[in-house]
Parts: sequence; C-alpha cells; structure tokens
Amino acid sequence: MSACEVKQLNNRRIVLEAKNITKVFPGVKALSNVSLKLREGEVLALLGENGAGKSTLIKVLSGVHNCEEGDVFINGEKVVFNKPSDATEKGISIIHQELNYVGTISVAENIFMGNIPKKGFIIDYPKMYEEARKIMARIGVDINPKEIIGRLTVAQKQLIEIAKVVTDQTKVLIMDEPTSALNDVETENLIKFIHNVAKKGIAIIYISHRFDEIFRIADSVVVLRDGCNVGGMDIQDASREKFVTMMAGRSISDTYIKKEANPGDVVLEARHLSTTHIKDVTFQARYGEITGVYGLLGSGHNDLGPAIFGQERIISGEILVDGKNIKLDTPITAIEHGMAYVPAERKTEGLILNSSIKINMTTAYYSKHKNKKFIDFGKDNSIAKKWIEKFSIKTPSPETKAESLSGGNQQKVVLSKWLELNPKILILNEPTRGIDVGAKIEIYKILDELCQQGLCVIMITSEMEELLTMSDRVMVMHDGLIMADLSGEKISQNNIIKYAMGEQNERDE
Amino acid sequence: MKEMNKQSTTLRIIDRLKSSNSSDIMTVLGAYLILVIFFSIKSPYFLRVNNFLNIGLYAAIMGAVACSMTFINVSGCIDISVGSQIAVVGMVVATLSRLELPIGIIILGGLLAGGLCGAFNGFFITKIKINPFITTIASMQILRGIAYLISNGQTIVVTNDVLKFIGRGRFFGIPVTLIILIIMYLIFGFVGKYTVFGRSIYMIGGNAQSSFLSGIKVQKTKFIIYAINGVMAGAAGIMLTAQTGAGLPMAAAETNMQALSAVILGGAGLTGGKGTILGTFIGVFVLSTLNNGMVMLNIQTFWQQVIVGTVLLIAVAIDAIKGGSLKRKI
Repeated sequence: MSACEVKQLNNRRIVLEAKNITKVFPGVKALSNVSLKLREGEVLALLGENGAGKSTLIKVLSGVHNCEEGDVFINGEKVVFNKPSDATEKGISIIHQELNYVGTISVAENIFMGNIPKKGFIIDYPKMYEEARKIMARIGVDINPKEIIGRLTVAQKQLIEIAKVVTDQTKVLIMDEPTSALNDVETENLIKFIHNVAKKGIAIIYISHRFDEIFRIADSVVVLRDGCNVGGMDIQDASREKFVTMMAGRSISDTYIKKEANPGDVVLEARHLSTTHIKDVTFQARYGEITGVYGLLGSGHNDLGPAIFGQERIISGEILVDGKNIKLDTPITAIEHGMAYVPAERKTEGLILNSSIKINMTTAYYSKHKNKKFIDFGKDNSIAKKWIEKFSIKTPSPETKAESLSGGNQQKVVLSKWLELNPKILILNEPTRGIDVGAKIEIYKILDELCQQGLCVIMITSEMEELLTMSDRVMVMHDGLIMADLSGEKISQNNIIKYAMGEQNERDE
Repeated sequence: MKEMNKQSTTLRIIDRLKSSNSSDIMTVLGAYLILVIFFSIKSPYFLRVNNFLNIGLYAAIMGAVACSMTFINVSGCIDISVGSQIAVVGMVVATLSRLELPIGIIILGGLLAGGLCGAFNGFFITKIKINPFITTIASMQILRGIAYLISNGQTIVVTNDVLKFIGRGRFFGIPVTLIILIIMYLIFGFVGKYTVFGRSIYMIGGNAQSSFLSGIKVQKTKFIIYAINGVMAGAAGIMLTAQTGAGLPMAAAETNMQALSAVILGGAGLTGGKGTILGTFIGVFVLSTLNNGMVMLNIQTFWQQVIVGTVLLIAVAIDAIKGGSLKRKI
C-alpha cells in the first residue's frame, strides 16, 4: 500500500466512530474506554491475544451486546443498538467465524431464509434464484444459486454469507477471523475480494491471528490488550516487533505461584504426529513437569489432546510411552498406557450429566480394571467419598446428578475420575474454561501438587495468564504446527505471542 | 447425634429415590393398581389367581423381547425388527422339529437363528454406522420375507411334546412360560444393575462421547446388546411356536410395537440413559392386564387398540410435562 493511498484515506469521511466503550461482564471488565475510528474504504485490523476483548468489541459494534458506557457514531450521528438488526439497519454487517447456514438446502434458500419470495402460497423459485444471483453479483460473487450449500467449499460458503449480510446500505463490514478455515489459495482470493469491497467504499474491521495477512490487507491496526486499546497506527508505521510488544505486556496477577518443578525422565513422546488438524507434531514430555501448550484460537492446540489420547484418527507418526511405541487406536489403549484426559468440553465430553457424581467418578475405573466384571458398590462409594473430601466438592450427596454441580465442581469430578487410575500422564484441555477464579486456583493447586508428586502434566490452554502461571515448559502452536518449544528464560509473553502469530523459529531442542 | 444421623440417612434415601427413576416406577405401579381395581369391579372373573397366571402365560412372548429391548432403548438405540426376528425363529424351530431332531438342537437352533438376526442388525449399526431405526426398518422387511421363504409361505405344524410343555405346560400350577419370563427378568435385572457391562449401557445412552473418552467400548457394547436382543427374540419365537403349535410366517406382527410400548411405559424412553428392567416388567404387565381385562369386558378389538394407544400416550405425556415440556418454546 503506497503512502499516497493512505493520504487519500485520511481525507475520507469517518463512517464509524466508537468513543470510550466500556463493557462489564459479571466479575470482569471486558472492555474499558476503547475508542476507534474507521474511514470509508479503510481496512482496520484488530489485533490481540485470546481474551483481549476483540470479540466483545465487535459484538458491541454489531448490537449483540449493550455497552455500559461509551457511544457509537455512524457518519457522525449517534446510534444505539439494542439488537443485532438495529446495527444491520444502520449499515454494520458482521461475518462471524462460525458460519451460519443450513447445509442441506440451496444457496438461494439460504440467502432468503425466513424471507423467501412467494407467489400467493407458493415459493416463487424463478424469482428467488434470480434475486439470489443479483445479491451475489453485487459483491462480485458468481455461484449457482440452485447448488446445495453443503457441497460448496468453506470459502464459497463464506462468500455467500458475505453476500447475505452486505446490502446497499452496508457501510461497515466486520470479519472475525475469516481465513482461519481457508487454504492458501482461498485466502489469497479472499484478500483480493476484500480489496475490491473496500474500493467500493465499504469500511472493514478485520480480526486475524496472522501477521502476514495483516500487513497485506490492512490500512491501519488497533491492538487490544486486557480490554484496553493499547495503540492504533497506520500500517506503514507498524512492525511485527511493535505488535508483539503491544499485545504482550499484560500484567500477570500473582493469583497463584507454582512451585519449582523437578523434571524426571521422558515419559511421553510424539514423533511426526499428524491428524486432520495437527501437522508433523514432535515433542517430549517429562515426569514431574507441566508442559503448557498454547495457541491462538484455531491454531490446532486444542486438537493435540484428542490426538494423543486416541480420540482422533492418527494419519501418520507415532506415540511412545516410557520409550515404547504404543499402537494408539482408541482411548482405551491410552488409558492402559497410563494416560488420562480431561477434555475441553466438560459437559459433552467429560461428564455424563444425568448420571450421579459417583457413577461419573467410576466410569474410567472399570474401563481400566478389566478383570472387574461386576459393579463393586463398596469401591464406588469409597472412590466417591475419597475425592469429594479430597477436592472438597460441594454436593449434598455422591448420588447427586453431575448436571446440578457448578463448573468448578464438575471439573473436579472429571479430574477425580482420572486421578483414581493413578495415571502417569495427565492431559488437560482448557482445564479452567468457564470456571470462576476461586475454583481455578483450587485446580491449579491440585495440578501443582500432582506435578510435585511426579505426574507428567500436559496443559493445553488458550489463556496466557494460565499458561504463564502454571507451565514449566511451553509449546506454542500455529496452523497445526509446533512453532516453538520454550523453557526457562525463553518463556515470555513476547516470545509466545511472536510464535503464536506464525513467526518461524529455531526449535529449542 | 443420633438424630442427625437419622436425618442424613433419610436425605440419602430420598436422594437415591430421586436419582434412580423409582418415581416413574411408582407412577406405573399406581396405574396398574387402578387398572386391577377397575377390572375387578367390572368383571367377576378378573380377580382370580388363574386369570393372573393366564396373563403371565400370554405376556411371556412380548415380555421376553421387551426385556432385552430395554437395554437397546437405554443405550439410545431402537429395534423395530423384533417381530420379524420372532417369525424367522418360529419357522426355523418348526422346520427343525419337523425333522424330528432332539429338542436340545431345536432350541439351540432357534436361539442361534435369533442371535444371527440380532448380529445382522448390530453389524450394520455398529460397523457400517447406519442409523438403528433405518437399519431395523430394512431388516424388519428382509427377515419377514425370509420367514415366508423358509416354508414358501406355508404354516408348519409342530408336534413335539417338550415344545408343547414349554408352550402350554404348567409346573406346580404355574405356566412354564411365566417361569421362563421371571428367570429372564431376574437375569437381566441383575446384569443391568450389578455388572460393569450393564452400567456401560446406561453410560453410553447418557453420553456416548464421554463414555468413549472414559474407555468404554461403545460400538462393541451396542453390538452385543443387539445380538442378545436377537437371542431373546429366539426365546420368544420358541415359546410362540410352542404355544401356537405351529410355525407361522406372519406371526408376531404386533409383538414389536407392544414390546416397545411396554418398554416406554416402563420408563425407558428413546433418548437413552434412562429406564430399568423392573420398570419394563411392570410395563409388560400393565399392557397384558389391560388386554386381558378388555377381552373380559367384551370390548371390541378396534376399541382395544385405541385404548392401548391412548394409555401409552397419556403415560408419556405425563412424563414430558413433568420434565417441563410446556415451558419450552421448541
């Protein structure tokens, strides 16, 4: 982008202005005093690590959330959004990361969902297809409106979604990580597409976790950290180093201080492991050490857990436990070799919600002890009693259904289920997601203690604070690859963010 | 101190009752008592020991398949091919007895034929991963066709004394089929509550994904319950052939839906994770008693169907409303 183009931008009209936006969720200040300006045809990249407030900001701008303080102006006129359709009416359209479509019906039907053109009682198919074609042509998209949407590529679905939300009134288009599910060619096409849309005068707010794209696409950048705007700049004033420093620098509250680890021998080793989501992953993990695995959303770090626990099909590569190659095909094999896995989705993967705490705590016990063919009711009771006391799980009785517990207590039930097996390796995927601060610290204490006792803990997390608090070693993932394996001094926010954004590295072997 | 202990024990018992679905059983039991009282008032022949033994005699066939079907429903699956499985078994048993083979071989042949039918379903559901409803719609028709093909559509008359004893005989005055039925329910009840296999069925029905991640062999367990269900259809087929004295290719056309009704009435819905063998046992007797009473009152068969369907619908509606269905928007 040349300097003269930018100058032209500066002369353009400001279409969107947010002033001192503050948004408070129970217990958290998600945004505080965030301001930004957007000119006609400008592409503004919004940067920040997980939980910095990017999503909250765009939700405020698109009418999903109300903000406590601050104002939004469109073309200089103050607007108040009570619901998403208010924002759409004023010309703000949003493309969410998760696309919204019904895969089994046609493109045209998806475009007109809830508003299908009719002749009397009958759907007016010719008109519907014709109109759909026009709507797509408006942004230069040419896809057969009769095609079943499920058969299209993600990129095509995305374009249809854009066509759906962009109307003649659209002034601002917000895109939340639009390239996260696209391949290189598709990304290239989308970038071209965005340039075209911008030329028509539509301003774009673009969220991305990839530096490369940002430098190619954006005219300006705003960096958020802990809900604050920590700086905006034009792209020619920007550099990767600047971004990294701005995104990091988050104050780490010393809510918990982990004891020093005493790493033992290597217990788990992955060699060139690939599944549909991770690529060529090679690493080692040791007894008595917490290995943190970090990545920005969609970077494949959350898929590492399922891969090493036998939940996902392994395409290539091998997994070794205590130096022995295990033929990992199902979770049962993983359990037999001393692994335990606390999944990311507690309610749908970790627990059987309508069963009792006691039954939830003993499911894995019977899977591991294969010689037990009959239910040992005495053992069930003693397992439940032991862990309810040990983790001070707040429940009226072991017979209480898991669904009635709070998030923190539910997570303790999942942990109990696995710790009863005396595992060698404990894999945790987002161990404190959706858990309040008090319970979080309790879980950190438990993990620390287990680590001191020599357990190998692999903690996959999207929370920087958690990562820095708990990890003895950090692996950073980006695009399914392990970008860095950091330990000691090298574990710094700057380093972690740099690699999480896709910076190449020298591996820390 | 003692007072406190007592209180906590009471609390624990209440909690257990709440979490073990006993309340549903109580509702069905209550309904059963009302039925018995109603028919006793209306018919002088109803409230007699012999009548109840008769109910047991005729409940056996439907009861046998409802027993194993409970596990299928608890696991979150369904089987609507059981009626056809019974017909195939009936034809196999009749053919074998025609050949004057030893009774042991005949019974084994019947159970094996049933087991194979169940395994056939299990294979497509767990290996090819076809929806259980679709799989069993297909096998319902395939197996019915096979039942006709075995004898080219003809009825095969059975004259085996042991079979006759199984079907219509009594042991100390109690129908043999009723004794078989009670033994089956005791075994299945035990498996459901006291074995790891039984518990894993509940786990799978409650949340298959969590169960899989806890090391439960989800598909293998499902395969086994379909095979067991086939073996139970085998037992039902043997009893039916023994009772009617013939292998009929069109047999047991209504048994499937009756058994499914009994299972649902007993508390095992279609969503999985819920239901008990005891509940199904009561469900079987509610339906059988209802049928018996209606016959005694000379209610027209067409009306009988309307009444049975209505009872099922009311029972399920009560459960749905208790679960808050009226408060939900979708």
